[in-house]
Amino acid sequence: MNEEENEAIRKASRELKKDPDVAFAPFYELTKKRVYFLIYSFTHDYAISEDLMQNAYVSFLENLKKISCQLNPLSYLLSTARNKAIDYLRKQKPEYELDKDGNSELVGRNDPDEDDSGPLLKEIKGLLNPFEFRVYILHVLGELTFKEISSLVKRPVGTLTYTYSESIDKLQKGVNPLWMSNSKKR
Amino acid sequence: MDEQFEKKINKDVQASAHPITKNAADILSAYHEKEQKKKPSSYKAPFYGALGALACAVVALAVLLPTTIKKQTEGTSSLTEDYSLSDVEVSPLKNDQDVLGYELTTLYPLVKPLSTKGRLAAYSGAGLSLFEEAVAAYEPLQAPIRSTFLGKGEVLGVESGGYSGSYGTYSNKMVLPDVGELFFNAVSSRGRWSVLTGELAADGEVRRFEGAQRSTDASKSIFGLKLFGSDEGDYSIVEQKENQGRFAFTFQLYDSYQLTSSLNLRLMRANGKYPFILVNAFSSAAYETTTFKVLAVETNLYSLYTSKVSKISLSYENSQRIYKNNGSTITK
Repeated sequence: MNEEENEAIRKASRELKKDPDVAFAPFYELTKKRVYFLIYSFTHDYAISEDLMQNAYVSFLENLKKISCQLNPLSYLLSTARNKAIDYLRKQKPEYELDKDGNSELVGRNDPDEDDSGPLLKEIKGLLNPFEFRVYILHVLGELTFKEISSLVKRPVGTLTYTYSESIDKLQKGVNPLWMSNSKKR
Repeated sequence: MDEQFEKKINKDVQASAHPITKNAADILSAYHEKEQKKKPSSYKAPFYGALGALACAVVALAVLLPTTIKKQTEGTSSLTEDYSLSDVEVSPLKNDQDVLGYELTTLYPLVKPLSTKGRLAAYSGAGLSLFEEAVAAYEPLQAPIRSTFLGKGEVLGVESGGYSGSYGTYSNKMVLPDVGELFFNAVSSRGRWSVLTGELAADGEVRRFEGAQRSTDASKSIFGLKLFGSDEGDYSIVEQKENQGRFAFTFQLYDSYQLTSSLNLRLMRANGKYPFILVNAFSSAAYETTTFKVLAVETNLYSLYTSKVSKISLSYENSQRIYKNNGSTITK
């Protein structure tokens, strides 16, 4: 995310504090993709991700007075979204101690029974380990920078760029060539 | 990494991704619905209820207060009946008398609740007994507290800390969840902390830090280690304080500019020795600050005092921790 976008989000949050009913829509449009795919990287389920995204935004609106627009409201929103996703998974499979002592990778093992992701994403998920899949989704679909991902998953940027590059190598070797030819026809 | 392939597959993935169907209006209406539920239907019922409760409380106080005052004057306090502080011989710091000075009358309030929210959370923790609650709150803290008592050479689990040398060198190693392993070293010279260095190891990478003087007051020496730049959103600060005869170690972890957890250990001195520790631990998950006073009776026997439970005895036996209070026992 560049500084221009950052400033736009700060401006939108300042407006949001003044009048949530009018200013929420532009703020939502600026941020929804990041929030949605962050939650999806945990839950692997589109419908559940939408519900959790709604909960995250409602929490954000409830705490609006406490958040400083001078700092980084998006960071607060993403942390809220991440916590909502982890809470959801914790309720689904309480036997795993999630996101503690570096066990966050375990989250990926708690796939919901129904996977309604597209066939290409499903194939990618099969080729990458849960952590690689999360980094890949956050970077490509969530359009988050490695620095932003680093603050969310608590890993150094160097580790993330290495993981991402390894993921691309794995996909190059493993993804069915048919996908690539299909994309040429499109 | 093949850049053309990367661009192509990323484009395909973006094209195949599910569109976001939820719109802003749905979320706003969910928010307003929740806000409506929060508003009380009428102010009259809670107002008169509170007025009634207040009247009952005044009557109860008028009856109970004289009785309680009478009882207190007859008995002795729990601090004096069980032990004498001068009998305790457990701390490795007992020879460092000149480094830190301490007066018993300035004792930090032992059971001071640090926030109203914390107190509310404590009362709303139904389901667990007060003893169980106190043990659950103390369990994550027991390792650093015990290692602070035992000093250098004792490593318990993931954390260790202690003094060495005649100038009072303090070293500490701890694992910060989701961050890495932190080691730092502070040296006291002529009664003031003068050097602070640290390292943070995570995923095979080691970052080194030097402490910076944080206080402008020459009578104090406060050092801080800044681990992350505030522009990254997350940062931790470690402080060493030697102020008015009190040694304190504080660790605070922030996430998105909000304090998520903090630990404050104060090693207290009495009669030239360091027999007890005051600890404040804040957790954002429970929104509560827990305060303990921990007295080392022997190397493997400690007494814990909190606001909730009168006295808990903790003994370390055969790699087990046995908590006892009024005939109840919890083993960990």
